[in-house]
Amino acid sequence: MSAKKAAWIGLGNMGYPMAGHLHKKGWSVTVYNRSKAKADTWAKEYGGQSAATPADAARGAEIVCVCVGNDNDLRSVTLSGNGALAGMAKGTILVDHTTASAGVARELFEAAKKKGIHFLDAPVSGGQVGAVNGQLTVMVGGDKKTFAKAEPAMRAYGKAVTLMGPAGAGQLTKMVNQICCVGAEQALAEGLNFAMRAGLDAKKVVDVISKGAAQSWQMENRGKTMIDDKFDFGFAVDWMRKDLGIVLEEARSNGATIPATSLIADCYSRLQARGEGRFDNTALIRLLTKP
Amino acid sequence: MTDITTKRAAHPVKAAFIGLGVMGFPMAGHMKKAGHDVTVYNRTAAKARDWTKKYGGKWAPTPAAAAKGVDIVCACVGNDNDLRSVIYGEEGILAGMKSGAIFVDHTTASAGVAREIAAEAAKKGLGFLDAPVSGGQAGAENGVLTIMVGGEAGTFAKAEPVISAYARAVTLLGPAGAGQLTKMVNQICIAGLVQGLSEGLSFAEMAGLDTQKVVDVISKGAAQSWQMDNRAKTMLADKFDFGFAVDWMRKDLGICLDEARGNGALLPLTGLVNQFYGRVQGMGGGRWDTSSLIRLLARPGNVVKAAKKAPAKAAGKAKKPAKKTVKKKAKGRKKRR
Repeated sequence: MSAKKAAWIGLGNMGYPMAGHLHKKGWSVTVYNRSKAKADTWAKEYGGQSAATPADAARGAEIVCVCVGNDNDLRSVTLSGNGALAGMAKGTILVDHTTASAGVARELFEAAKKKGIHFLDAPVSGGQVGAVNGQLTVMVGGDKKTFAKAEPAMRAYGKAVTLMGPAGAGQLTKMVNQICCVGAEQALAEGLNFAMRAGLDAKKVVDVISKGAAQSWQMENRGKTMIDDKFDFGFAVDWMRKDLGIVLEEARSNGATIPATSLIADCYSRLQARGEGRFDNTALIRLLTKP
Repeated sequence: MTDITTKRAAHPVKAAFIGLGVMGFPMAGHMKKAGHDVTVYNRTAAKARDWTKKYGGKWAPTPAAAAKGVDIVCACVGNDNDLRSVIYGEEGILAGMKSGAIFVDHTTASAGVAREIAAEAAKKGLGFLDAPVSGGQAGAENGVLTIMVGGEAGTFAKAEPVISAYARAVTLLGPAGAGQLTKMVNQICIAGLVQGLSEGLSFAEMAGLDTQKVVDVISKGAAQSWQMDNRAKTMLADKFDFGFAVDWMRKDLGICLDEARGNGALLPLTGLVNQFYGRVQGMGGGRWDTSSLIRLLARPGNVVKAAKKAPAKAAGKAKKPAKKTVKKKAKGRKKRR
């Protein structure tokens, strides 16, 4: 029995190991990356193939997964002349793991539909560590049948893969995730900075208050690294600012009021302006410790 | 209500408990059940009598009388001023305590008043600990509070076995005031996080998502919090009768902001959320729990209403009603002060 064919477009921090997991689960994976060298490295490491364009990679694949930077990158690797859709056959599935707008998800859903191709928006959370360990949370928007077909492939790197609703619902769920994350982070940043200014043993404070109603994943996993002024633990300020930009735009159109999220988006912009865009997104505390 | 834990003290002591509110009443009860000889005092004596009927023990007509001759006095009252009023003066706690006894204050109060009491107590040869708690009314009733303590190690070692009667965790965090400062960090972390959670949930509603499903999925990852696990469902159901009230949080955040003015800590989100809690009070929600912040945000129901109102304003009647609204708001603000 020959292996099922898949394509992977975009081999960044997330896509590279995700495509690897798919390969390890027995899929025959052809990859494409904007800088070809990365695609060749991947092909060498995993013994797969690399292609010169997204369309070439997608040709003959049952499922094509994309994980790129933003809405525009996504459009260029899917909709352009050499884009994935140009290479895909009727009845195949395009899965987008990029964190992008709900609008572009709906746009791609429609564009794919016209060609008889199925589309799922499927942003992930769990960071680079989750991608490397194959422990991501995948939030999916699309129709049930397509989801049922694509789910086994996504399980290669997803610990939890959930259909949230129609096209765009995956992206919208990821937005809710980011809103809740940054609120917890800014509150934690203010609390820890206050503790240090007050002369408390901030780590001891974290040990005590993380047992109660102030507990959060961020407090348990990032509280102490924030106190140590260490910010090399994954998801960067630049990426979070991009995600919050998408959130603010979506809120403008759906009417949601998100004052704290807006405030925190400004904080991230200030970090970028200070040249701290590559620090991880808990660097919010630096605006308080080193204003 | 059944208690999850009833701890028997290895060395029963004579104790007093001052202030029998929603927290103090069950806390003093746990102390009695642990085998200590407890005398209570409450501003309204009827409550103190109720307490003795329920738990046994004695009640006293003044804080000084309750504190007379005991080894340890615990207090849990409303704020800095309530605290000063039960401590100082001829009828106050300090006047009744014997030399070498320990005063433990469970009130969430300022670090300043903690240091002030520590100094007064030291003058009289008394031990003092500031020991605010977290865990809410449920934690007090079940005897599983977290107690954050400031003071001297020797005093802490003596008091810990007694106050453990109502606690799951008792930790010394530093000198006098450190307990209060730690509680402030706790409240800062909660306030901003609850606002973030409120925004996330209302955004999900406005986006037409299956909100419960969203919570189930994102609570497995980096967005997880105690508040999300324990309050998201009730927030979505628009229910806000689950413990710690907005009025109390507003008081606590006031203390945080005062302290931050002194120590120079920036609190942009906390300051914003403090104002939001003020607005919740203004809409009559002072007794709602702290997760009611979501009430201030756009929800599928309340946005439709606003859209319906808009055309009336556009019809040229905007001037007069607008003025009235401004006046009303100003009055409301005055009242709250």
